[in-house]
Amino acid sequence: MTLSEPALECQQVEVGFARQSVLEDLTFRIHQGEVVALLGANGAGKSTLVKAALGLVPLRRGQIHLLGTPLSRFRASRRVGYVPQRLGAESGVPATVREVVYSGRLARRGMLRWPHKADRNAVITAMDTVDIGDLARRSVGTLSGGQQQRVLIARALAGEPELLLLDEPTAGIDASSQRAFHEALATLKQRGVTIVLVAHELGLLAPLITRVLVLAGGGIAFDGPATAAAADQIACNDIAHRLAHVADHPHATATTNLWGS
Amino acid sequence: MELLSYDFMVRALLAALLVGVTAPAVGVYLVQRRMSLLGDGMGHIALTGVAMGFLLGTAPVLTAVIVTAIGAIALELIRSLGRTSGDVALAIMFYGGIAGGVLLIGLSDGSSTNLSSYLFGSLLTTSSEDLVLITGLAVGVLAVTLLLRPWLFAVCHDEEFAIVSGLPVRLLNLLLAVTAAVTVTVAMRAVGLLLVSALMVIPVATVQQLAGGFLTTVLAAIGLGAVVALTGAVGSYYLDTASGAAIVVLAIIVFMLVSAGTGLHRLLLRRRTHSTG
Repeated sequence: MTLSEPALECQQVEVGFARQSVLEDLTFRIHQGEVVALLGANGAGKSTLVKAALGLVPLRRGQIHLLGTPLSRFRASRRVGYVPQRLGAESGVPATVREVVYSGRLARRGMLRWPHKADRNAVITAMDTVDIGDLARRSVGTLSGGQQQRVLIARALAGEPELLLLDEPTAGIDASSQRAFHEALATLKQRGVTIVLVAHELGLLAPLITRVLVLAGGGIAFDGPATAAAADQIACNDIAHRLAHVADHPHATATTNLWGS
Repeated sequence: MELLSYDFMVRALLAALLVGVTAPAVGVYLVQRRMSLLGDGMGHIALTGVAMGFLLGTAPVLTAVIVTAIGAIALELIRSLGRTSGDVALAIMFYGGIAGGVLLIGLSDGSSTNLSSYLFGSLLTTSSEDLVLITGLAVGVLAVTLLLRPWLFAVCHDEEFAIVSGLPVRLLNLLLAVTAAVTVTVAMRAVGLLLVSALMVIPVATVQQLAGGFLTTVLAAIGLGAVVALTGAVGSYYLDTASGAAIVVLAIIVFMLVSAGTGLHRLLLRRRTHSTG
């Protein structure tokens, strides 16, 4: 990929489930080295967009390019990292932090190849980046939600991705995990990794974000720097979403739903 | 050891050891995916394979391997393509396997005594040819489950992430399904088709209460499976019972003891925390 090629490009993308469209005619480019926050109300299609970009959700229409290659022809999975909202199905068998993080290195390691020193170092660096090095031997199931989220981030980092997509990495995590994530993001930004993260609010991360994309009504409602304007736009979208909820649920009071309590 | 002076007993113990080692080696992945009953479904399918062996006059182990592997591939394809839910596909395997087996046994005029040795296990009748076949299959199963452990772990732990990582998820899933099918047929002489799943699942369920990591669980479950299978086989000789029942009952006793022990340990820890707090 050359510097001029976008890390992620969507052209007139449409994604939907059953008869309902979630994303319609979505077009944007994310350039190499950008740190982009994908914001929007619940159901705006943020997670769907991330999954579509990774090929986990089929497109109805349009095209997505990853690191300069159309998604259908994209084979360099090792260059892309993904952090899901939560660990998929809760596993029945215990696994240590190191084992889970190591699974993120397999894309680079290749099939049936003995791990090299570089693989071991990448795993250690990934754990240190999110400050979980001292938890390496602990069973993931015994960790707090925030620590588990950091394990998932370390797993994605173990593959040393050029493009990292994170689906609500800070949702419901404790303050120390938020701080660790903030520091990790700063380190990755310094390394030139392109980052796309789904969030409900910017909070501590605001100074690190170079661009904000706000999704609403299946399209992009705002595309620009993380300024107060973006915050206003987000607030408007959130209020609109909550009012729509009140309309759908007449027994709920507007006040209750507006403030989410 | 008077037992070891009998050739049939040496063969039986070797077969028990191989089965005790291989069944949990595959079972750990099934438990990880929360598909513990998959082995049961395959055991039922294998019955059709055994009956086919009777009907064709060939080695039932061989026909069971082929039929169960085909069933496992079909199940995995149904699951991954989402044509129907995994539990419905499993249920169809259960009923179809039993019905096909009984139907073919009727057609082949096979004796019920012969069939019951496959249903409930009959280690003492393990022939030299059986042992060679079981050894070959067990080596294959262990090679797949141990050499591909990191990749199988990744797929079973988080399939979506494995897809994004570009791992050959469908191939690994099919390989695991076929390996599980082979394990079922390897284990059917020792524990029987109706109890085969128990030896795949119970050692793993026992060990995971104590272990903190995946590799530790794999190795400890293999060790426990070997000990339980050997002890159960010896016990069944002295008690003159079906080997499968003895092995599985012993595995369940160990599971219950470990569960009670870990439960007591947790209770004591909680009390100590309360008293110090």
